Amino acid sequence: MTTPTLNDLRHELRTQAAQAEAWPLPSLTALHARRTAIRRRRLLASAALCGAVAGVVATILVVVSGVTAPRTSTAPPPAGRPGRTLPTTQQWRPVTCARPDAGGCAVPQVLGYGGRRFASVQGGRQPLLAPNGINRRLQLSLRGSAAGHVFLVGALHRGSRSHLLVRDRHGVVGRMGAGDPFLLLEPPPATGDLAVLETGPADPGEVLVIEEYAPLP
Amino acid sequence: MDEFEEFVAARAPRLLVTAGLLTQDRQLAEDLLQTVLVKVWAAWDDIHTSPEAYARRALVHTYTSWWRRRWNGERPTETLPEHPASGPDNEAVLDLRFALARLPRRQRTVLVLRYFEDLPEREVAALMGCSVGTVKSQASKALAKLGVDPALSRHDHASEEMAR
Repeated sequence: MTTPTLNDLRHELRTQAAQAEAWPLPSLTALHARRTAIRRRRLLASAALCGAVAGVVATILVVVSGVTAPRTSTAPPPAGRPGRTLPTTQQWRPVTCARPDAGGCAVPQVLGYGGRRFASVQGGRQPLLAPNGINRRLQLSLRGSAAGHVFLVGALHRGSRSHLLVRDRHGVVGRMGAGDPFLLLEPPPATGDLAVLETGPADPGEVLVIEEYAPLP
Repeated sequence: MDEFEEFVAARAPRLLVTAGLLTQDRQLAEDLLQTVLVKVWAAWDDIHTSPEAYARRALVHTYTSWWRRRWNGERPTETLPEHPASGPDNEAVLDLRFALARLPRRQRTVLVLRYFEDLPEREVAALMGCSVGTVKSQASKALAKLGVDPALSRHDHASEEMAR
């Protein structure tokens, strides 16, 4: 048998390409359906965002109107730990959902946040082993993460009594009840580890998730 | 038909060919193309340069990065997807095709971009988001796995350099 040459390789690639050229284009109906679904999700996300903003404003108004006198017993805010907590938010929206077995719209391939789009670059999954609930913690090193990356943290298939804690090296930066969507974090690069813990009962099939996203150009 | 649909009609066939060479599987190639087109559409208003370049970058990036997690693992092909035409050296062609199908994704990507798309190493590196040195080493490893004679490879490279 002869040793293949680069010409053989080029010929083989061209042969395979010729076969691929004979494939019919996939139906654009599916693409149209996805575009429509994305448009619909964007509209829903916008509506949800407006609702959330209105809710926050209403809450603030209620709290402000309920204050009758200054409280003298209020504890001072903790000092000496600048930058202790990472900025977190639940105001993100899926742009391109992942496949259902990879998290669907809960852990999208592309998400929108703050007027920008971010694409998934890597992530970790940690299935909980119920009922013992071992493997309750999923930890990801942030070392080497580029500036501008964001992290989506949460769990799939959570039970009704699930309660997640999100921690960085300084302490708890977020808490999520059973109904809360995944939390988006914007940690600066090289801030040690990021961890998510299930502190409630471990539900069968529950999977802890940390997904890293890079900004799209 | 809007601009995006015109772009799809004009460029999707070529993107599907590249996706087919990368994935070596029609279904996966279609999935990859659909994913990339959705990405292009999502970014359409922000693409101020060439949509095709953006799509090609998205194709390579999607294939070499999250693709490995969503479509878990290599698919070693015991049976070849297509049958080659009969030729004087059928066994060698089969071996080459089989070896090509078993290459790791990044190495296969380098070979497709380098020897099918005929892109220079610098452009391959830019598309893959790595250094030229990495492209060279990946190509070298891939050629070694395919059993392509390194001397022929050097000869070919030298010929290209002389031609420029």
